[in-house]
Amino acid sequence: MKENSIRWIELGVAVVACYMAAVTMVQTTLYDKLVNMVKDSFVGELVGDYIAYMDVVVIVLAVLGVVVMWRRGGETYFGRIFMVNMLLFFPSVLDFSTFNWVGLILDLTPTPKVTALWVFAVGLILQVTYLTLRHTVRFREMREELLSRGAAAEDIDQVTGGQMGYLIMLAAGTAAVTAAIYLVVPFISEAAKSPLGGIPMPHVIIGVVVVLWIASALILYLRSSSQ
Amino acid sequence: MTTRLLTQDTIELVVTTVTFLVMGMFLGNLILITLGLAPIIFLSLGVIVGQPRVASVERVGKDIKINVDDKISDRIVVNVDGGPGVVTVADVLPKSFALEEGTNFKAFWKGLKAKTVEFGYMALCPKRGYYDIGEISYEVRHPLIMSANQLGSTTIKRAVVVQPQPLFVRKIKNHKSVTRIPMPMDARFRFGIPTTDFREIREYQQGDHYRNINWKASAKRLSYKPGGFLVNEYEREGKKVVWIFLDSAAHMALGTTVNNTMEYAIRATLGFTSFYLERDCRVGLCVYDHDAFQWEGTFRSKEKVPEIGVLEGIYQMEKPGGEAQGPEITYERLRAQSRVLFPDVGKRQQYKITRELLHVEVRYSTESLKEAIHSCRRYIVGTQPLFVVITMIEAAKVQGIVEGVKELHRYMGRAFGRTNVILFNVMGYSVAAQTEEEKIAAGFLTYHNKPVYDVLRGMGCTVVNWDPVGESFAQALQKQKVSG
Repeated sequence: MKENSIRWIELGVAVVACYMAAVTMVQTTLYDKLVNMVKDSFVGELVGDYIAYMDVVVIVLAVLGVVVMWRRGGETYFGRIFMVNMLLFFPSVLDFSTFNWVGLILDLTPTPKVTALWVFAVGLILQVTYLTLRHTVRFREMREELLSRGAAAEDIDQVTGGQMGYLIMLAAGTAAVTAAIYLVVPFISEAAKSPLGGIPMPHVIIGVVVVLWIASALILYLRSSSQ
Repeated sequence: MTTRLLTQDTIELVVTTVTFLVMGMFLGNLILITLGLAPIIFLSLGVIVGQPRVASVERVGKDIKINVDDKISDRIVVNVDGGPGVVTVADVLPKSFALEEGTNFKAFWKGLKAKTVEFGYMALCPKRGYYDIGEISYEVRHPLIMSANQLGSTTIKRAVVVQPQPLFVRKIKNHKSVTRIPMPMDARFRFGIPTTDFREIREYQQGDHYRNINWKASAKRLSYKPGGFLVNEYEREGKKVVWIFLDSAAHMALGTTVNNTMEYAIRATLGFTSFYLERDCRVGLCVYDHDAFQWEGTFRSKEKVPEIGVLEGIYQMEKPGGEAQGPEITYERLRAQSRVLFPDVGKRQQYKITRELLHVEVRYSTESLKEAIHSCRRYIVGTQPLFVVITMIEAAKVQGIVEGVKELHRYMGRAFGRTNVILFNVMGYSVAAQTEEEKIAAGFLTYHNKPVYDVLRGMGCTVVNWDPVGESFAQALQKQKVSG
């Protein structure tokens, strides 16, 4: 696989993720509130009926911004793509949050036009994009390194092809496992209601336990040795 | 056993997960919490699948002895098992080797199945020396760089001896020429008493003594090929001695790494060695450093004298005659490193000199020409040797040669009034010149040296100039009007 192919895959993944995040955002309560605020201001009077095209403008601007950042191609800019995507995604997350702090401040009643499953799917796409882009940058760096050390171009292409295949498989596996967890969680939640019913703030306690469990697993992994 | 290490990427994935979980808890959002698990699942799957492991590395090539500018080839076979990932293997070659075909560095992708990879190369060996190609280094990387790269190396030794190309002077084609290559004064004694040193087995010739017939070897040969007998040939006793002094000073490095004055000087040394050994001369070799021409007195070690318990009080004794009036002038320096092969005959001596020349580099010796001659004096006295000094004569640095020649005068004989010293001048400026302008400059510098040649000829030396780029070794020797 040539470097150009990696770049095109990066572009495709980044644009799809950004588009999905932007489309989701324009269907959120917070966005509606912002559009109404613009309508009521002097900007609304200036724009007039063209305010209907605001959604399209926002989506196009976001995608163009991502394309510009993709052109730069470095790790820093890919980090910024992730941040832009998360910023676009955040209003939709708020609509499905138990503690909607922003909604409380702005006096919003969540009326999302998308389902929770849609938001989760978009979030999963963003995560997969994040995982993919951060590794494709590494692949390109490795290509440069191998080339400078005198490796043959065909060998490098073969290595990149293997890495991309592995990355796609792993990302797909991750998406599948994560989706499975999300779909199973309501049943687990239902089952855990009675044993955890007496605990105050069970989500916080379970969250802390999970974080500690991840940290201890990491420490155990590092302290072990491989043959 | 290797310790596990996490890369920066892995740590960032963990941090991302924790951030999502904390945000999810803060907002009470199940979507964020579940999404936060994605990086850690990704990381776990990557770690569980693992990375490759190099099971074995084999080298196909064997030890070899070749001449300069010959090529060697080798093949490496790598067996890899374990998980998928990137593997790089490098057969580390000496710096002077030039890769001609193939590659000595291979990068490949190892999939889920075990893999065997074979690669090879052909390399040009333009510089003499003894090379140990032993280390094959490899690097195993996780496909997504989730764990630290594992570096390893395997030592599969392969010795490559790159011998300098001797410049043979077998036959002088120009019979009308009045010049000839000088021989030692004692060379007029063509036959000597055979010694007990075995030289070779050769065909029986008329006049050979029956007791010299090697019956075993003759019977062995007659069993598969009809022919005459074989006789043992022994080295003959003789006094014909040739001393070759090779300069290893810094100016001999003029040129490129592989094509410099030193390399040509070494080839000339081998040419002289071969020429004189074939003519039953005893040839000795001494490597010196022209830049160390300052005579610094006799050697005094810088190392402290070890204290002897019994004689502890000896330092408290007064010196006879009282204390010295002024500070004593001492010439302290490092121990001189003599690089001398004493004169001998035959193929064994040829081999010894060739082996020594494999290791000669710039600044190989720490003795000046004068010091080197002084070190060899016990082996020179009593013979009437021919001295061949192989160097690069420079107008600004002639003092060392003059001092050396003066020292030689003390030991050498005279043939028909002419002293028996050849100053073989390898014209390094021509070797270094690459462009036309540089060649013109080299010509000027050579011209600038001419008065120096006259001075040295005035001291009784035969100055032989050799331009390695423009003429052969034999041509350089034949064009000189010498009267050896």
